[in-house]
Amino acid sequence: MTDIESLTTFREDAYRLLAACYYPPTKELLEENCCALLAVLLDQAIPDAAQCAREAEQTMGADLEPLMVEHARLFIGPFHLVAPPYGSLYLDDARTVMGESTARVAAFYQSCGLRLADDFHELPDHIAVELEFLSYLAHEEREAVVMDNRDEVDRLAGLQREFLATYLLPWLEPFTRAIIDDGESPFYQAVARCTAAFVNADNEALTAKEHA
Amino acid sequence: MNVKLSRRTFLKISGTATAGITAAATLPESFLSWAESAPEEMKQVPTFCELCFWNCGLIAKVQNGKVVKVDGNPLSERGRGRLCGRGNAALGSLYDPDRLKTPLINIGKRGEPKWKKATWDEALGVIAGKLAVIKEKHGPDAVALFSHGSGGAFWKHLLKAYGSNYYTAPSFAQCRGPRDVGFTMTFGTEVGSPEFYDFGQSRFIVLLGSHLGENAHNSQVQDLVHGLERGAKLCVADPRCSNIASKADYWLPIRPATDLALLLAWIRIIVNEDLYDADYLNRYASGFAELKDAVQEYTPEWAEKETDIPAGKIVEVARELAAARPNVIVSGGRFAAWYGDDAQRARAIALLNALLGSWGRPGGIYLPAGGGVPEYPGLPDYPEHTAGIPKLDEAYPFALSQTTTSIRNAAITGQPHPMKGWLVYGCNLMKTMPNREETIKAINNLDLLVAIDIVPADIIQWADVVLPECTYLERHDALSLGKFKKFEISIRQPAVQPMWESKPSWWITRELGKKMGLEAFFPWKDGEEYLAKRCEAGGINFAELKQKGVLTMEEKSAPYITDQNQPTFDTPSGKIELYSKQLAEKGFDPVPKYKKHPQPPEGHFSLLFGRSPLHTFSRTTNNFLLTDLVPENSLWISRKKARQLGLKDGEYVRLQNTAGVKSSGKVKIRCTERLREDCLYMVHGFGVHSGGMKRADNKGVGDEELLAGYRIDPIMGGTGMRSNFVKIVKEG
Repeated sequence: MTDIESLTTFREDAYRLLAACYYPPTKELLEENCCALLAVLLDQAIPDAAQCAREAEQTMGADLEPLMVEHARLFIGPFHLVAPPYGSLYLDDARTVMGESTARVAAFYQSCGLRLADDFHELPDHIAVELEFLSYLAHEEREAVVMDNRDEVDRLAGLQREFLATYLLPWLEPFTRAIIDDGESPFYQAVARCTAAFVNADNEALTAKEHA
Repeated sequence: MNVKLSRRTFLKISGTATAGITAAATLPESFLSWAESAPEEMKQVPTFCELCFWNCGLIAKVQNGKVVKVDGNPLSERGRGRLCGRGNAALGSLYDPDRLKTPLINIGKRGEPKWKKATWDEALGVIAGKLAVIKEKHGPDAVALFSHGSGGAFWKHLLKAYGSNYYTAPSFAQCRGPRDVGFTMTFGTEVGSPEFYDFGQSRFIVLLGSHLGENAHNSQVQDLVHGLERGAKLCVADPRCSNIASKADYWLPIRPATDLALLLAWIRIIVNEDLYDADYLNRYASGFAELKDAVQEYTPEWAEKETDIPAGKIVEVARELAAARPNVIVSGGRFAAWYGDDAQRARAIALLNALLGSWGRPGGIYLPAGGGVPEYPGLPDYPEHTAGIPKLDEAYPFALSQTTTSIRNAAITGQPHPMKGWLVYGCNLMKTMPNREETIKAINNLDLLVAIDIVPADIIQWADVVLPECTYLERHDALSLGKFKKFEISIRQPAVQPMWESKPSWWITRELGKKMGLEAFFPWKDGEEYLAKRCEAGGINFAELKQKGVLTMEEKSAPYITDQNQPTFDTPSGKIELYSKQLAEKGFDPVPKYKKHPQPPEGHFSLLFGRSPLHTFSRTTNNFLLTDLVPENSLWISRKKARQLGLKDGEYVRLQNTAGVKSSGKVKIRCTERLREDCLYMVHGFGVHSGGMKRADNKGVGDEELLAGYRIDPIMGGTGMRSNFVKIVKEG
């Protein structure tokens, strides 16, 4: 990654825009067209992810109801929950929410000075929270670049690699595959493909930087 | 580039850091915020359990916002510091990934739902709107509530404020109703829930169709074990050698559906051999001569032919039982809706207790402490019950509550008046009521079905609106009041905040009440204030209750009869009624008469069912801590029959009833020496068909699916749930 890329908000914005796609869809999701933004962001660096984002943009539609039904079917239930959005269901032997890995994810946030708000009704290892967390770390890293604090930049890059390797990548594939294979809405399928492509590419870039 | 996100980001950083990350976006109201925090100390929150209805006091241990363990509260009369296997599995309910998470509106069909996530405002708006229309068109009595569990108190309050009196629970007509009616006809009052059994002091205990212990009724099991330790004799009449039967002095493997023959033979022996408590009966009872006359035909030899129990054994047990009077209990268990004429069997059980003078005596049935806590002060009166609305249960003169089946019938037929809206709280109606087809027919006639639950049980897929209640560890509830030897008050308080969008019933009913124009009935600020006000009105130290979880009130009167402490009997005559005039007046047998029940046709078995100590109905079948131990039910069959039919242990089979209905799932064979050859046995609650309950879906078989027809007790409306005759169908 070039210094110029490090100085842009590309990574933190991409993570945040992806996170936004996994929250229950509202009018704003349709209005803000975040997939279009995502496509523009990713165009140069990760073209296949950008292509997926464009598909998501095109398949989103203008009607909220089908998105809400599919979002509930994929992520909320009550029947045949297709792709539970919680890390612990993929990572822990017990396969429950608020599992051991959930506690470790929360502890990870805490070690970075962050915690979940009391009025937040989702779990620490919800896909969107993990993506937002990476957005936060990317933001902190950029700040450190601006301040020319090399140690801090390395530390933050290390944290991102660790978080990705330990908590997100191990369930990213089965989670996105469940959406792609069993989803009924091209929008969420495209979002899932985009997520997989972007996060994997970002992880490769982070790893390459470590060895550079 | 400049990313614009008006309300789509949920990330918030407290303090000055916010400016940096949100340069390109305006933040919404705090949804997720990040702040510094230190690890938390272990918090201890006293509350009470809801894994079953026993409601044992416990203490939840909480660290960093997560419940890590629950332990029994030593102050609780219901648990005395101990929890059963289910109670210990609290976390399996709280952290079940399959929980209902948000309000849902069904935009598909009932039975073939298509779910849309809704906000609380939307979901409650839809319900309030439909309830208003139903009231306008049909009157408030066209709405009924089915309820089971602690939060039901708030729903009952809402229903009455709306103007309907039709609240019901399967726990009456499908469970303990017949027993309660049998005792009420005899003693003028029920035998309690928890029952007023003084097992710990008993010298002889009879359990009839009860496998207490497998029913993990915590304090009661402790008492029973304590009584046995102290030398009490135990007789268990059960076609199956249950765990408790294996510890009995007498196991009587009775032929199914002949229990009344055994009871009447025992009554005859005790009456004819003058083994009864004559002083006690002279003082407290009426109708002895009529009773004596009525039982003369029931000789031990006759009973042997009916029950398969040797006449000599019947006599031996009766004499030994009577020799231990009055420190004896004849218990008919709790689930009593067996054959559709069960109130009379319960009457016979009550009569035996009366003859032996056990009511009000040590080791018998104790006189419970009185007590109560006032309702929230200053609530308006409920609207007058609409004049001229016919009673749904007119046909069953001694029903103590509305029956589920009468409400279902009204929904099907519109008679005696229309039934258009159901609120279903914590009841999996698809499994608790006999005849699923009738239930579906009734539901399809409704204008509104609201299901309030924690997990997506079978009934959810028939609902128009689903409201997610939070689990007991996340909420305040109404007080739990217990009539033991002391009066007990327990408080439920949240150990952690509700997960997802789930909410407690005090909140849901209040918000719904507001939308229905009933805000005057819901003045409480929150769950804690609701409880504090009630305690204040009752002179109860709320701070102490919160801190201890359980308070017990010293009782002035003793739990046993003494010269100063005389029992009262709330029967028409004010006495224990051995002969029931009120039954005779309505055309029923004033003293129970034996009636033969059908026996299984050739090639069929009586299908018995009971409880697992590790599950509560279908409600816990998705609890991962419990499914790890008991993931499905199995089908007990005698080893000999299994050999004859070529069945092996662990083999999966289906069952088929006499009407040709085949079980929708398969069940695993368990060969045993502990069961009569003409019976099959399994645990009730399995055979859930709900894709949303991943661990439970399609595991095992539900007995209720196999009821070929069911009789209704003409005395009180109880349904016969144990009249299944089935054969085993092998499949590849």
